[in-house]
Amino acid sequence: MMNRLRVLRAERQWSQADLAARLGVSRQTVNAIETGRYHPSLPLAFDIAQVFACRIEDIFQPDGDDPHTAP
Amino acid sequence: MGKQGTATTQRESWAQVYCRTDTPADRRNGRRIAATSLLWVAAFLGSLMVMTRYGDSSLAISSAALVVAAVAWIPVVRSYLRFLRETDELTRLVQMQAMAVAFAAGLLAGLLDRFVVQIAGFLPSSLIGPLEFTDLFNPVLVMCGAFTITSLVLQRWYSR
Repeated sequence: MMNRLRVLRAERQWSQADLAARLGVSRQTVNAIETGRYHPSLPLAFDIAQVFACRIEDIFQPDGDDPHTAP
Repeated sequence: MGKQGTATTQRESWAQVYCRTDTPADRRNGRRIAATSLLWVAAFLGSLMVMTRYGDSSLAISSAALVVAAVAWIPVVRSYLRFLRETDELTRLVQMQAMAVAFAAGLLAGLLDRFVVQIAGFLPSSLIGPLEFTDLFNPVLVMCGAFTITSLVLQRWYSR
């Protein structure tokens, strides 16, 4: 799973801590999502989409070699 | 909030990883766990003192001390469950993974305990020294150690 979280955050000049505070999670969680080490739950993905005022699929896209991706 | 924010990815030290990544709910629940743990330690030490002093003479007193030490553990478990419920999802995942590793390590230590006792019997006492070599394989100690180390390593890994 790829995501545009870092880009969207940079556009708004928010730090990871800023975004974490808006989402009600730890800064570590934001960092782990940005680096792709952790995939957020559906409720958190909806929260992220709401904070950036866009759709979930505008932020998260399946990887090319993701086994869950339909052929 | 975002005025002075810089859109960078910070890399943190071990201390920062473990102490500064929590949310306000985590801090509140952490204080609750610490308070209930302290109460349990007090209850445990009190029970131990009562058992040492009066335990030989009365089964009822020994039983009561045992029940007090066990019942005092319930608030600790409840506060930890509350922490797990209210913490953010990555912290919950780290705690779950650390618990799984700790359970496996404790189980293994418990199963290997007999082997270690057997091996210790063959070792010369000068090599073992004054410490009980087999105590290192106490499943509870192994479990606590494995949980602490695993949670630290995972927190660090997710922060990189």
